[in-house]
Formats: sequence, C-alpha cells, structure tokens
Amino acid sequence: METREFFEALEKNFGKAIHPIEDQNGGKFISIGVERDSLKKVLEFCAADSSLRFDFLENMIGIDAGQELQIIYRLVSLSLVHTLNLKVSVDRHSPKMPSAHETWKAAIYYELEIAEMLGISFQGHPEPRKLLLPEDWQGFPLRKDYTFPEEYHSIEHRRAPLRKEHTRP
Amino acid sequence: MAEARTLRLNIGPHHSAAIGPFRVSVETDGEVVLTARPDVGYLHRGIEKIAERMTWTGFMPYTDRIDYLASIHCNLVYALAVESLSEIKAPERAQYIRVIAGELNRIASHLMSIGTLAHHLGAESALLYALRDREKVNNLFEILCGARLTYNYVRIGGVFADVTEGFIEKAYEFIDYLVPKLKEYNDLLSNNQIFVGRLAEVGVVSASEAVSCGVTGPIVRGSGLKYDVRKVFPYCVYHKLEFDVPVGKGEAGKTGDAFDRHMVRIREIEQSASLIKQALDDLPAGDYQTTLPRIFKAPQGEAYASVESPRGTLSVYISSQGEKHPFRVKFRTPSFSVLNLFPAILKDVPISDVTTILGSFDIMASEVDR
Amino acid sequence: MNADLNAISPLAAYLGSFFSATIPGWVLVSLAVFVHGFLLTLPPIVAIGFMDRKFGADIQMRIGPNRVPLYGFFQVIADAIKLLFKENLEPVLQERFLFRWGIPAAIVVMFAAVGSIPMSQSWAISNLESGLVAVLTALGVSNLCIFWAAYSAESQWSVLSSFRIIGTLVTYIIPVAVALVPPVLVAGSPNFDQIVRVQGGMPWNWIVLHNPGTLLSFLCLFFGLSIWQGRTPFDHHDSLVEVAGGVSSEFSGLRHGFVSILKTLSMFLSCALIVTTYLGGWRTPLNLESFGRAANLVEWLFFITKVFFLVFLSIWIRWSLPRMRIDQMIKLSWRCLVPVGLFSIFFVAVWMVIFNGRGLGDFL
Repeated sequence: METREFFEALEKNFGKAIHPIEDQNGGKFISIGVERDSLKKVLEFCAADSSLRFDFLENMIGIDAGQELQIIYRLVSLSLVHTLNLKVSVDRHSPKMPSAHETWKAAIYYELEIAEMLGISFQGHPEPRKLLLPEDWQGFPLRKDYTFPEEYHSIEHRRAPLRKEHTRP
Repeated sequence: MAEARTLRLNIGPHHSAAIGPFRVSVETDGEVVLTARPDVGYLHRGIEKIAERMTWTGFMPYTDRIDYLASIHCNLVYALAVESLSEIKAPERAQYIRVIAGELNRIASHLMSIGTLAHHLGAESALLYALRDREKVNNLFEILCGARLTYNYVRIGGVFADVTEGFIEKAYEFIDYLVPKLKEYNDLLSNNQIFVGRLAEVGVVSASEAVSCGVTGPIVRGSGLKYDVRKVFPYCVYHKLEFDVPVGKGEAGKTGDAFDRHMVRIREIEQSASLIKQALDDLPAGDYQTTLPRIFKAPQGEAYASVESPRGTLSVYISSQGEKHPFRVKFRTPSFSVLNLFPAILKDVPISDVTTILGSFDIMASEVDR
Repeated sequence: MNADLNAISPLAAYLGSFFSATIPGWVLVSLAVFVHGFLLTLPPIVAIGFMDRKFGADIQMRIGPNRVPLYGFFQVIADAIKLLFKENLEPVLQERFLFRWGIPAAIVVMFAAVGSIPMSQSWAISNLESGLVAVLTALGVSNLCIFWAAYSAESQWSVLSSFRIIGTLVTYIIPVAVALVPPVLVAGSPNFDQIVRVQGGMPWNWIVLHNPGTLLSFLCLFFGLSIWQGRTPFDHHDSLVEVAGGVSSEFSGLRHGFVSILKTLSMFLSCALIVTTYLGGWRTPLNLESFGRAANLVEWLFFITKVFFLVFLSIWIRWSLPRMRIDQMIKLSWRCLVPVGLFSIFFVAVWMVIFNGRGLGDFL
C-alpha cells in the first residue's frame, strides 16, 4: 500500500486529527502528521487494523524543529511489507507525549533516549530514567538551543583562548 | 530490615562476557537470575550531536565508529540516505563494490560473533580460529581501502577507491578458502554435543516478542521470521543477486533459541560468500564514484535509508535545511533494540546462561550508545 | 633403625643410605621433604606450566612464548618473578586470615598429598597404610581451603564461585572415590606401594587393562578428577567469562601466583594419582637390578613421563572443548559417572572372584 491509501484509511477513522501528507522532496520521505491528543489511538489503530498491520516500530526520531519539537514514528509492517512515517508535533515548553510502549515494546528504549536528549516526557512510561547520559546531566543535548557545559564534576571543557604567538598579526 | 536473600551482580562494564563497556545489573537468588537491567551509556559519544556541527562529507568517518565491526554498513547507510536526499546516483560499479565490501564485512563480523560466543562457552580455541579467518578479510580490506578496522570506504556518490585486479583475485581465493572452512566450525562447534547442550533451549525468543521489541537481524531470523532488509526493501544491487535468507528451524530444541541464532550466522556466512562471488562475476566496468561539488550541500528535505547490517536493520534519518551541515541525523542501531528483550529473556536463567545469551545476541556496546 | 625409617618415610631412608654416619631420623625426614619439594615435584610443575603454554599455543596456531631462552621455557620463571614483585592489593576484610592463608594452606595440603605418592620404589616422603584415602581427603580439604579464601574475599563473584566449589566437591568426590575402589580390589590394599607393586612394567600388566571394569572406572576417574579439580573447560569456580575470575578475582600479585601454582599442582597431583592407581606407577619394563640406587631415577623418569602424557591429554581437552553448564555437570556425575563407577566395582569384584585375581595380561 502507498502512503496515500494509508492517509485515506486514517482520515476515515480519525478525521481532523490527521494532517495532510507532507512531501518535501518528491516522494523520498513522506510523512503524515497526527494530532498529539489522538496519537495513542492512531498508533493502536495502525498496529491492529488488518489492512495496515504495522507490527514493527522501526524507529522513533525526535527532532527539534525550532518552534516545536517533533517525533517521527517509523512504522514497518513485516507481514504486508510497507512502511509509514507518522509525524507528531509537541509544544517546546511543556512537551508531553503518550507512551507507545503498550503497542510496541520497542518504544520503551526509543522513548528513554528521546526523553533525555530532547526533554520530552512520555506519559505512562514504565521506567523513566537516564539511559545514555549520566543521572545528573543538565539540559537536553539534541535541542538546538543547548549550550555545552563548561564544567562537569571538575572536568573542564573550555577552549583555551588563543595565545599571542598563535594569532596572526 | 528484612534479611537480604538476593545478590546483586554487575555483569560488566569490565567483564569478559561483555563486548565493550556494557553493564547488565542482575539480581540473583543463588545461581538463578531473577531480574536483569541493562545499563548503557559508557560509550556514548553523541555522534548525532557531532553530526550537526560537521559537513555532510566530513561526518563519514564518524559513522565508522558506530559499529567498528561492521563499519562498511554504517558508511553505506549514511551514504544511501544522503544520496537519496540529494538525488545523486552512485555508478553501477560502485553499487557492486559496495555489495562486495558489505558482505565481506558481514563475514568478518559474524566470524567474530561466532568466535566470541564459543569463547563465552569456554571453547577458547574457536575464537582464535575465527580471528584467523577474519584476519584474511582484514587483509582484503587493506588492499581495498588501506584500513583494517574503521574503513571509511563508502562515500557519498560511490566508493573511495576502485577495486584492483589483485583484490579480485584475492577475494576469489578467500571465498574458495572460506566455504570449506565452515565445515571446520561446524565440526568444532555446531556438531559438538556440549556446545549444542549449552545453546539448546537457552534464551528462547519468540518471533512475536522479537518483532514487538523491534529486534532484527540474526535474532529475529533465528526465531523463524524471514525478515531481511536486503530482500524486503532491496538497496544497492541486491535485487539482481540471488541469495537465500536462512532462518532458525529449532534444530536443537525450540525455534528461536541460542543455537538457532548461531546456525543462522554460520549459514549467512555461506550466503555472503555466494553473494560476493556473484558480485565479483558481474562486476561491471565504469566509474566508481561521482564527483561532488567542492562544498557539498544537500537540498532541503528529509530522507531515510535502511540496510541490513550483521546485527540487524541499521537505519538513518537525515534532515537538511540546505546548508553545509546536517540539521538532524538519527541512527537506528540494531543492538539498541535488543535491550528491550532483557527483562523477559534474562529471567529465571542460571548465571552461566546469561553470558551465553549475551553472546548469542551479539550486542555491540558502541552501537548501543553511539 | 633404617628399616623403621623405611616404613615411615622411604625417601628419608634412601637419603640416609648415602651417609655412612648415623643421622637422626628427623633430620633425614626434613631433608626428604626439602628434596621431594624442590627436586622431585617443583621441576615437573614448572614443566607443566611450560607445556600448557606451548601446547595451547600450538593448538591455537600461535607461537607461544618465544622471547626468553630455551624456546620460551623461562617464561614460567619470568612470570613467577613478575608476580613476586607485583603490588599485592588486599581489600578491607573481616576475615583477613583466611583470605591470606587459604590458598597457601591448599598448596601445603596438596604437597603433602603428593608426598605420599611413590615416584619410584623408594621416593615417597611417607608410606601411609591407606595412602589412597589420604590423597582423596587432601583433594577435598584443599577444596575447602580454596572455599575459605574465596568466601572471605567478600566480593560477589568470589562468594558465588565459593558456592560452586562446594557444589563440585559434594558432587564429584563420590564418583572419584567410587572410581578409586577397583585398584584397591585388585591390589587388596589402599597402600600405594602395594597398588604399584601389583602392576607390571608393560601396559597389559597395568590395572587399567586388568579387566574391562577397570578400564571403565579409569575413564570415570580421569573425567571425574578433571571436573572436580576445575580444570578448564570445567573451571566453573574460576572461569573468567562466567564468574569474572571467581576465586582469583580478588587476588593480585603473589596471591594470584599462588592460585596458578595451586592449579598446576592439582593437575600434577590428580594425574600422579591416576598414574599410580591405574597406569603402573613407577614400574618400568626394564631390568634395573644393576643400577643400584640410580634405579630410582629411571623409575622416576618413567613415572613423570606417564604423568606428562595425562597432562597432555588434559591440555588437549582444555583448549578444544566448550564448558558444560553447572547443572549439566552435576547431572553428568549422578547420572553417568556414579552408576558406571558402581557397575565397574561390581564387575571387578566378580572378575576377581571368578578368575582368582588374574588380569587380562596374565592370560597372554
């Protein structure tokens, strides 16, 4: 099935919660936007519907798109061999998302990574914790406004100012 | 306070059963593991953040470090995504060379995996035999690109250097050498009663569990599911080549046990050898790379590419604002998803089996952490 | 007096025969212990260390140690010197005494057991009436000493492996004890000297080929001892992959060196036990009457060669087989080795009655 057909199937069931297809570069990467509030139902529908049957969550991609944060769910159906990208936007200042771990267990670790890297909190996540970063790490590194810490537990990370002899006259 | 009856053991980060710094914290009652929790991040280098400060072409060497045992695949997936975004078409010859390099790398990685699994089970010589054969692959790569571990060989729009006559000859020689050698591995390991006894019905992963956890590669194929990106969503020239996708059949006990995963790896080496032979036979003449502009800028947009790395589906998402450097790069690494299996699989198993299961999963710490 | 001393300590009596003056017995026994430890036991143990490296390297298609003289033989000594001068880290422990002295105690017990095995007709420190039982006990007690050391180290891995040591001790002392009964039946005594003297110099006069039952129990004894003494690939209590070094994970420097001495010593002791009970001990097919006192040296060489053959088999197994899981190992003991051992005892007993103590070699 093509993304156009997925869009029709989703729009029939969820109406306005589905945004029109985003196709920026000639069919290379097509994604369907979904409202955050009905996301959980849309994901459950995608996994359960007999014509979609997305049994495999291949990837979850968190993006800092400037005004808002985005998450792309990359769904693959192993049985019917097709793929779908769902794009969800979430407010930058109070980013909250429903957790998808009940639909696909794979979401548990993707969500942990997105949570610590972009600061999106997932509602109903079974075991929220820092995964790749230390427990006491401040800030969300993959946000565009992230400033690199200059000091962490007395490990200094500062570029030394150029000395006179190294600067050109 | 109640008397503590359980023992908390940290397998890793510095433990001979872990490949790279990687920790599984298990709670045991005597010899039996009750719960297991993976703790990763010891090797986190923030490659995705680094990408945002690098040029499109300059990021390529960093992809090597994602999975140093299969760096061709990491190079390739990034190159495929950028090519797809900027509509560059790599020449036919380059596509074939990519297949040859990728399959050679798969052989090297699987040999390493088989060897370390045997090492975890105490058959220490098998690791040395596997390293001996991997050494021959390393020599081939040295002819191909001058590097033996982090190849940085695949480039956006082609490959870094053309294959030489000497390489083709040596590669044929290697294939003729390797295929009979697989019998040696089978005699030493796969047909060994102790080895089979250690792997049979250990760490059984059902196909539905694996799919739900997002696990791919030899693990999901060992569970009997015929999912291989090379077949399902072909890239490069895999649609022109003939190969079989081996799946686990439960030869030693239950489908999806550690022995099935081991056998899948052995049979995949065979398939990779046949793929290399076909690709060498069909290798077309022509150019091996396209010329990129001196300052390469990918057009605005997004792209996604997946390849089948030795450990499973390796994908990359890239997003561009039309500038010199990527806006966002996100890697989906196969070992990362395997962590989802831990709570269910590492439960009510003896401690001896934890290392067996970890070995049969073939987890790469650098790939988990990126 | 000399006859009395010979009954207690044949080696002391042998040494006394070199001196014309009468020397007190305790001096001779002390001298015997010294000679036995440093001249008869230590050189073979060093050689086993060298064999392990070289054969292991050969099986794995490596070269092995080659930077020191004599084809790398001195690597063993270089390692010993290195371990002697390495920093000896000691964790803060409750039971420091056991941690410090557990492994040396095990070594002492093992040396004492080696002393009761005759390496030639008069080269044994002690000639115990029930030497076989003493050696079996020593093997068990040395396991207990290792258990103390590992358990008092208080690291999780050490504690875990100390439980495994007790597990293997309980499981494997029985098949080993059962497999040691047929030689006693054949010789009619648990005294090593008698067990050796009942055998001949040629292989068909050894107890192993006395009858089919002894052959079976020989195999039981070989595998039982290999597994019990935790020889790789059955090293459940100190495998690096499973229990992170287990026993030796908290030992550094000299103590780690003690652990490797202990392993080699236990290999030597168990191989010597098998050689004495089943493979003819120091008996040679040569006629040594004209050699006089030097006959002992030739017999010792024969004995050591047989021991080295078994050591070679152990090394071969070590580098080629994978490790069994601990529950499979326990099953192997109870379901295979113990029943086979009991059957062979029965078989040997019946054979002894029917053929009036004659073995297969006697019919040739």
